[in-house]
Amino acid sequence: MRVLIIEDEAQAAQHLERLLTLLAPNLLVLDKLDTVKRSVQWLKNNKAPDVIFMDIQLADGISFSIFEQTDVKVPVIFTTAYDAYALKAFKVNSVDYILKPVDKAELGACS
Amino acid sequence: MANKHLMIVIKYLKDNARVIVICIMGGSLMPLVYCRSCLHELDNYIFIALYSMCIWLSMWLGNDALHHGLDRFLPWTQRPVARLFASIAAMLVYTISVILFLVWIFETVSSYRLGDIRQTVLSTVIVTTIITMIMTSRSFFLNWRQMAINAEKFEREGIEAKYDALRNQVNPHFLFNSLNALTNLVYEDQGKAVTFIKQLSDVYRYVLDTREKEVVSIDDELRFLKAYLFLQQIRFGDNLKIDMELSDAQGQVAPLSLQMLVENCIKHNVVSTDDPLRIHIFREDECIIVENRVNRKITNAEGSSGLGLDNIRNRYKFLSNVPVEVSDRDGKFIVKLPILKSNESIDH
Repeated sequence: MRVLIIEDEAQAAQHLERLLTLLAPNLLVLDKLDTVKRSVQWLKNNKAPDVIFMDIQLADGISFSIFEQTDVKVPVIFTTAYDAYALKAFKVNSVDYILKPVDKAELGACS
Repeated sequence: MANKHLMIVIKYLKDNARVIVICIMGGSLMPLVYCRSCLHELDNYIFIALYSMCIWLSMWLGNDALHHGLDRFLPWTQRPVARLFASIAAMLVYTISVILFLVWIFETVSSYRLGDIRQTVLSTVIVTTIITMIMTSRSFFLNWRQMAINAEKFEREGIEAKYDALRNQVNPHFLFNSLNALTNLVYEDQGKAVTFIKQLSDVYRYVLDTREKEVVSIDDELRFLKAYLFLQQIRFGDNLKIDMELSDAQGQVAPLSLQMLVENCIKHNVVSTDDPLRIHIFREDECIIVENRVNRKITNAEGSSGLGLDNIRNRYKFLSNVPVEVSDRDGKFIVKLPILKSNESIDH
């Protein structure tokens, strides 16, 4: 499985990556991106991943603007530290959302 | 030019119309009180009446002007005793010299004698003193009431700031983001994780400890700021760069003010690998300057009340004569926070 992580805090991205590799050893994290700008660029220039883990607050804005600028066809799992945006997340491609700090059991349940 | 002066005179007369009418009426009745004989001699009546009018007018308007002048340079609320003596001295000097002058004029242009000058001076001084006392107590009361209102306002601003800071710190984002960063840190670097927990508790403790304070020493605020920045730097890594040159700054600041300014920078600007946020904190003369290059986030959803800066500005209105300066020009956002001297803090 090819996974893209969009998350502005290095610590959180690292934690998510570690848990993912722990749960699915053959999973491949393609990239870790921290801004809306980079994500839009990445999605335009690369083959779509199988799933995207996406934080809601990014370094240069909120991640929903990525959907306004590109056509994301793949399932998205939102990760957020605070669930104020969870409901809005379901309007886009989201299949699930998880609350940070990410829990192994919860992450396992997603797959 | 002459026109302009005329306008000023007209405005002055208009503003004081009531006083002038009262003085003219009062003055024209005065001969009835102390010059019975004048009733039979119209010339004398007019003369005494004019003289009384002049005294009434000059005493009323002159003392009023003195009073306002002193209010500006030596308000009651700052040095009440000095003001009391200044008021008495100014009133005596003014009253006596005006009476001597008026008596001299009136006795020069006519043959009429105005009697014992000492008596005139004494009675005028007594009347003026009584009126001045009434006016003074009125202005003292008004000043005092304004002072009470200001104190109340200041207290409210302070409470709001503390509430804001507390809410921001206890703000779910701050807490969850901190805990989130901590999760990874526990795996990565346990020593750092312990420091993180320690700094997080220091931040909360400082917010709670300063709830009762109006000012804090720069040292204390910096220690708190460093704890706060440590937490933020764990979150943002090299994307957040702080240049701080404040080691020699003495004096005081409003609690949480520096942290609020830094938090504002982080909240409103991009903090990413491509565009790191650099915040420069340094001292310039009697100010602490917080400066950053503006690179605004597209959306700002972290729940900014937009009142942080206003709040700091309003709190400083009561703490210092120097206002907090904010400028947003040429791609730079700069806030100048005046350093408070220990004795300057609360003297309203």
